[in-house]
Amino acid sequence: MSMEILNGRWPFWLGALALAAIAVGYAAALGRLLGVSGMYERLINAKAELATEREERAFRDRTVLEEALRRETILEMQRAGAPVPPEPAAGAAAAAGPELAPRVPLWGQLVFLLMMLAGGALAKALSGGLGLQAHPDPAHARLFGGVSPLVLVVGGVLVGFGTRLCGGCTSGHGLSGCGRLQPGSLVATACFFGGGVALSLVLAQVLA
Amino acid sequence: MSAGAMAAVPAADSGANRRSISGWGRILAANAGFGLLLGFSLSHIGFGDFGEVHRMFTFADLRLVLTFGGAVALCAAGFATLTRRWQFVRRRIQPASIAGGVVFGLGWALAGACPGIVLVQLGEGQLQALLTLGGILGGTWLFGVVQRRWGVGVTERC
Repeated sequence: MSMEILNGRWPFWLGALALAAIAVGYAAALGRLLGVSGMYERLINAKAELATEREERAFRDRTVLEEALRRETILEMQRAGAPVPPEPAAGAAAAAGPELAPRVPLWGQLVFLLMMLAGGALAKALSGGLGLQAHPDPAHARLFGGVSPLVLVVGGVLVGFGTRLCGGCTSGHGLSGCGRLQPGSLVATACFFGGGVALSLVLAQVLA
Repeated sequence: MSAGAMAAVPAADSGANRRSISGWGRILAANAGFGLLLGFSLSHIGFGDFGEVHRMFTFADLRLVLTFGGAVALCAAGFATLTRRWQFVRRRIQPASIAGGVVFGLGWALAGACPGIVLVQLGEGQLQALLTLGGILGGTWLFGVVQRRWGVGVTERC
């Protein structure tokens, strides 16, 4: 069993367990849902994203300053013997329901993407097959022949455009969205899986 | 300034930061750990192998179909029990959910990669995945241009 985990393909139940643990664990740890295509979009818009993060930081600093000033003012009023204004109900908002977590900063998402790449390399290294392959994937080349590289680029563009059009990909819609039974995610997942099945069946008929 | 007053200022400050960004150590650990685990798992599941993905889409091999279906079922159980303290975005059905889903599915069948998988393929040493990654980044950029101009797309994105 332990050899199977480090070496070779996982049985379906182990893969399902790992993917679910990652999607739920990420959301439980950070309060934000896992979604890889959203990370790409934020990296593409890195300049605007970083400006937003700077604004949020400045706002947070101002909030901290205002809170400190308020406390000092109350202390000053107490010393002077003046009537003290009532405390705002801090616990009321938290008790009302679940909280909305702040967004994961851009650097955190970049770490996630780079570590995904490292995870692929680690899996390959531990099963003894690490090395660079410049030649096209054999199954891809068998299906598409000489235009295989072009098909990768065109397919990539459709993946990038399509995931942003429907607002998520296999992780954001497929795991995080379907797992929470969100209607938009269930429909998007049915459509991307259905689209993949339809085209693959046609390709297998026409090209194979 | 007394020792008590000096101690009170940093304490209040770090408390506010913990509430608002949940600590950079936590962000680093969660993103590095779950990222590594996801890349490692996807590689062993075989999602980075075009042949496996093609056999999934043509139902020639049901292992990946069962893996994905099982993961969704386990996610449903996990989200229902473990993440109740957080509030998440709701995803409604919109025309772009269907159009975008189909376009993504066609691309996945052609390239054999979704946005996460292409990184796993690169990590595995598949250099031709650079073409796919270039395409995905280009497509993401193109959507931004189209969206700013014509306002297409779903309103809640992740």
